[in-house]
Amino acid sequence: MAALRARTWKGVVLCAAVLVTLGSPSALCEPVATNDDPSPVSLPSGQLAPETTAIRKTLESYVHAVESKDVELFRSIKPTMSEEEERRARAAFKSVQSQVVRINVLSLDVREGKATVKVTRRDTLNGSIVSSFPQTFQLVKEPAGWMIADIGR
Amino acid sequence: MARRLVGIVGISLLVSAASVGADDKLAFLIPHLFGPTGLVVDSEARLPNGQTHSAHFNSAFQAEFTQFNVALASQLTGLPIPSPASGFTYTLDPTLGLFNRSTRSFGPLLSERAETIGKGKLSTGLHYQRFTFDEIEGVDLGNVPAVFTHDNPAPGGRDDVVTTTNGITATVSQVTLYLNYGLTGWLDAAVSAPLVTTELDVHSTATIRRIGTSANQAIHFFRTDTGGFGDSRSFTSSGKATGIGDVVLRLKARLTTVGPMAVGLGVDGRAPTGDEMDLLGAGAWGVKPFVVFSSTGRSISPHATVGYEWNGKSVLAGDPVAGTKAKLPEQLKYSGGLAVAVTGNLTLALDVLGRWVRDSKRLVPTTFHALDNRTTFPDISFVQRSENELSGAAGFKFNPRGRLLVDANVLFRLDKHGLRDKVTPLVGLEYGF
Repeated sequence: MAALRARTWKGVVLCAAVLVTLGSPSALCEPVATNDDPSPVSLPSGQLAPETTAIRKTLESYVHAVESKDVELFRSIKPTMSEEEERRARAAFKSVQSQVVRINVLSLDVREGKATVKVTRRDTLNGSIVSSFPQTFQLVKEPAGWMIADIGR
Repeated sequence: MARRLVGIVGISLLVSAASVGADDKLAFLIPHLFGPTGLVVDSEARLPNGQTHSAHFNSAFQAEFTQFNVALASQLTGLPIPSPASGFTYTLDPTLGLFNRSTRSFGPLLSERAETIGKGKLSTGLHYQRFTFDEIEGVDLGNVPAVFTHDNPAPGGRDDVVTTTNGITATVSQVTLYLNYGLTGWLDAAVSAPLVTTELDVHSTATIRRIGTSANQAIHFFRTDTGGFGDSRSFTSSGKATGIGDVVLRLKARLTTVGPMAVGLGVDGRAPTGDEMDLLGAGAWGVKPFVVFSSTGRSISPHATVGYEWNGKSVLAGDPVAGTKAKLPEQLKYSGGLAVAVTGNLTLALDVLGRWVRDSKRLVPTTFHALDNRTTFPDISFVQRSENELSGAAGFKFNPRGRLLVDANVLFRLDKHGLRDKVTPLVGLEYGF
């Protein structure tokens, strides 16, 4: 009987330990994006437009704004953001504990002060929820630099 | 991952494989409390024909208190599979490239909602719940009166009775592991496997009431340690068993969604994997189809569930000593409540849970009237009837980080019907993959 009890409790403790391990974000759920390139925006190989570096910088600012939940920075690179969009952005930042964004640029088309950047994006929410999806950024060149005019799928 | 989780279930099953010896089965504790032949008092009196007097006394307590076993077993089957926390669902705002939580609520704790977890998603959890039963049908379990009457009672010597005061300490601890998997976007499959520990301690003080034999103590007495004629004797019996309880399999479908409202349909199938003789399971198959209504609001999400449970035959509902089976009572189970998202990390869950138990044996406090038409004692009897049992539940789900949830809940009675615990705590962890 004593041996049974000991075995039973060992089983319960083991079950709990395994579950807690499974539930530990540090064991399973750390962000998957580890890149030697410090930039969260990777570019395609081959010959790129001269404006590529500046456009990449804007996309890096976008990533930084999302990851740091900085609405002002977001507005600075997307000045056309409406009040409604700003409200939604604040609500989104509030609902997410953490967000890590990695952007992989697929194509970059620059014409007459406008750029169309097609990317795939991989977001890690709250350290565990991973979402990958395509996105298209429309950018325009302003005196202050390249600005995001529109974001679409 | 799935392999690791299967391992956990395997460990639980292995742990439960051992059990106490057949003679120590908890279902026998009350029927055998006074010995294998029941309550027999000593007697030195002889009948007119010279034969010795067999002073055997009977009571509904010993003969029909199997209601206690049934009530206890039905509590074990009452713990619902927690709803997966769809509060972890995020929707993409495509014009900003930002994610917003579709609902802030992590859902109910001891009730259901119609939402499913999503195709390919897995949710798992471990809940610990401990019952310390206090009352049965409003009668304090520490003081259950029962009057034993003589075989073939009649005025005279057979007018004597034995009154007993019975105390029952019953605790049930339950660690339930559950897994919920999204087969499709609208259909979930779930399994819950409880590891149950039941502890039962029964004591009784029996006192001979010499209504018809006051002049002659030798007719009915309890032999004292010194060999004299005593009036009372104490009986005790206790036991403990641990093992796998009844495993429940569930299919739940989200039928339709209209705006924030959703309707779901599900069915629970209960397998008699728990040893009913050790009060670890109900000892019968059970099936419960149910319908769920729920609404997902930004902060407040109401929900309601109605289900009907059919049960097979179990020895607990029959006679554990004779080994005969009878049908466990059918139950209409219903619940309703609110999940309130206080913050993005904290959801309060409030529920009312009810069950209407059909045609089950119920304990009724009565007054025993002796054959002398003067003496009375408090007693119990049993009637067959349907009864409604209502409980309340209040708790919270807290999200410390990632997709981990810490659950805590108290279940409390709202009436005095059935076998009840004043307050039953629950703590647990949930994780969604």
